Amino acid sequence: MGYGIKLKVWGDYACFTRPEMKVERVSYDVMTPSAARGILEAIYWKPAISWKIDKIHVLNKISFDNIRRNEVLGKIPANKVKNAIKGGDVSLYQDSNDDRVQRASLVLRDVCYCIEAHFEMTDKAGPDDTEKKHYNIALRRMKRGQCFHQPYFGCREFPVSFEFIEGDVPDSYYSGEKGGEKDLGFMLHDIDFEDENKAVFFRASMTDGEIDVNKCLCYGGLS
Amino acid sequence: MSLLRRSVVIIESLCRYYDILANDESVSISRPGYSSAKVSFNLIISGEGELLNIIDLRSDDKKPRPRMMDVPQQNSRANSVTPYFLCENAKYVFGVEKVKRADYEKKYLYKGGCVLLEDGEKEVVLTHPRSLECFEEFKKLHHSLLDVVNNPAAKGLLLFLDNWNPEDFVKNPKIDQYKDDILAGGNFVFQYERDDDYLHNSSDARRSWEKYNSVGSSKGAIVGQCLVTGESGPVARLHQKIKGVANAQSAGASIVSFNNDAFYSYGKDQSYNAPVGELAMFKYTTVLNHLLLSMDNRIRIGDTTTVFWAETSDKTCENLANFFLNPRDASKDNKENADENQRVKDEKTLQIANDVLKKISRGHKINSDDIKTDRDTRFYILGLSPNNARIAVRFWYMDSFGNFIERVSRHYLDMEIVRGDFDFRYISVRNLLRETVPESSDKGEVSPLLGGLMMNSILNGTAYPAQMYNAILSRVKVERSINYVRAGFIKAYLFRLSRSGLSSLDESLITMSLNEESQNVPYRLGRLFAVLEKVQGETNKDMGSTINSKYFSSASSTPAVVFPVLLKLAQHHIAKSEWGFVSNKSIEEILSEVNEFPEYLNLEGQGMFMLGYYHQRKNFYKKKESSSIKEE
Repeated sequence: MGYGIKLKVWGDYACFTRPEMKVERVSYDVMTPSAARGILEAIYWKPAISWKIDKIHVLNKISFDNIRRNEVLGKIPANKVKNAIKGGDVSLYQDSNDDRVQRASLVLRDVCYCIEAHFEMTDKAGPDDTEKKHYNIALRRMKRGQCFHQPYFGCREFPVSFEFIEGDVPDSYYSGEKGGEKDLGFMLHDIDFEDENKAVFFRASMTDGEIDVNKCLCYGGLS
Repeated sequence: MSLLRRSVVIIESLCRYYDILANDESVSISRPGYSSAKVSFNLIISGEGELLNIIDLRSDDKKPRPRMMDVPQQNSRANSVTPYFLCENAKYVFGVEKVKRADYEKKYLYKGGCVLLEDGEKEVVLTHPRSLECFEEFKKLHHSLLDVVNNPAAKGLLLFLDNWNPEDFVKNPKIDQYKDDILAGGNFVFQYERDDDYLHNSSDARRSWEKYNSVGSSKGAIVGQCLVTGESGPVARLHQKIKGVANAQSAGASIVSFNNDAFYSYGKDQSYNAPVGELAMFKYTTVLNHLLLSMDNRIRIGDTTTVFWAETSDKTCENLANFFLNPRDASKDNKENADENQRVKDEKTLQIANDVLKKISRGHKINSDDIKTDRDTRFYILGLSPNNARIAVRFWYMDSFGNFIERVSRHYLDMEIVRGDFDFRYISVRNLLRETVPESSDKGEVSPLLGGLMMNSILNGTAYPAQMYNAILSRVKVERSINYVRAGFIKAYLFRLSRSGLSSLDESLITMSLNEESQNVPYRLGRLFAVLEKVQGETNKDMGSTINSKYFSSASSTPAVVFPVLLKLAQHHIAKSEWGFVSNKSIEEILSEVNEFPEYLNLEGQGMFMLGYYHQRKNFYKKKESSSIKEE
């Protein structure tokens, strides 16, 4: 784990939708590990590496806001896309005017997190893929602010600003007297893509603004 | 504080509250496998399967309301034919249905298998293949559950179902009496002629149902990790509907539902997108429906239906919370119509509330003694509002009960302002929101976002929403009247703004009643306006248009344009008035600190203007009272 990184991420809005309330969206209180992984993958990812989230530091106070957005009802079916690839004559578009629904969301305001993560090599790694190489690429991209696509907080509408942290993690709102251990309930850890895209939950707990993902996983509750 | 470290998940805390209520003897809440339903009629069946009598179970109000009963669980059935056990409507029990004439002509007339039983001008009663299918399914379900039960009551019901011919519906004399009400869609329960209790309460029927239910639910179910309890088990495919959220569909709506493709992820269908275990699903829906039914746990704020509960079986919390969220003045409001018990309870609660406010206004913290209950009890508020068939969570709050009381008290203290004798001391959020709606508005609908925003700032003790302030200011300007509710909110808004350092106003300038020392220019101008209005009123008693109706709005926003004109006008009035010199003196006194009339007042200034105007006017009345006493 010598090649860990610390990344500060912040934004005006965030919505880490709870699966049980994902239609009329209600956000989790803090960023989920899979959302953090998504941010890192937007900055740098190759099949040879897989990002593992170690800790999430919650730097700002958790506060909610209510918004309503127009979203679409349907999806472009996968079959249609397959058909189009085969050269079929299909129209691949969605008309947002016919296909619209208004959805309410309870979202987070003014979020700021620090992600501590490392990556592991996967079995797709070839002989040229060394940890050092990928670490340095990731580092350079983070420092320069480069990304493959704009990273976002749960929904594409909520972009992430990010900054590489060299030294210590900045102070959290929850360090000091507002701190202590806080149970956040069962939270989505990630999707198990090997096992029928099964959702895997873990009991998240925050101590002085810090969520130690590995420690939480050890406490059990994981199927 | 240690208590508060627990989780804040909505569904999980509802489940916990279910467990508390289920363990409380004095509360009737459905056990797993049962749910409450609205029941309209009781059908008395003889041992020979004859329908002996129909008893109306509805209330005898002007508009009869069905009775709530705990019956075998009724899962939502959407469009499928799914009979319920021992509690059903006319379509399933008798196999008949009433439809509108237009619908009949459109849907049934040209299809085979329909039998018209009664041909009305607007509505028709008929049997059609689908209603017959419903009846047959109903019969089948009861045979499969009751055939094994060896008692006369069950036998009677089965005989009744076997002998019943849907086409005889209108010919039955017993049915004729209530025919229209029966067809209106209400539910029936059954009772055997020699039993004292309903059939669905009999131990045989319950045992049979529980056995069937436990087998039925685990069959073919998908197993997964429940995101509420974390345990693996069968996942609920459909969630029970939540009923009683204002403006939602009458059949109920869902918090957890996936009714469009766009809501599915990772190739999962329906509720498998959010794996909630069967038992957790039952608990949270049952307890939420229970809360939404109970008058003590529910209030409406704007378009948001709000439920609140304390995680305890102690009722003191509920009463106090109910009072703080929806205050009534016990002494004035319900002296006559409330019963003695309620009044005593209200007065006791009012006393506690007054003591709490007194203590907080002195800057003390409250403890468990003050609120007569444990300060650390966890307290939740959940604001729900409908969006078609779905329910959205508007706000969600949890804290210790003591903190909640402190926050809300703070709100009432901030709102407090000099008021008339007949005005209430506590203004509910609902009444406050109503002040933003034009009087001319028919529906009286409050902007949907304001309620949630207001509740958020009250519960978190933060600055009030600017939208609300703008809405109130513009109402005052348009209607040219400021009552104690509006003045109270303007005061509270400015107060919180300056306390949080967001405004240049000094906290000490914002007072409960007239502050003659205040040198704030907009405030002084507001006072001046009130004086000028009075001067005019004293001179000409019956005027069509006053300076208030003509100049209020412009005086509060662009004083430099209006006040020179008004002052000139006032001199005419003063010259004519007997007591002119008194008014002249107060005008001089007020203007002594005003060096020049500002060109333009910003929103804060406008608020201060209105506050000055309100205080000054209230002050006139007060003086009049005391001087009239002296004369006597």
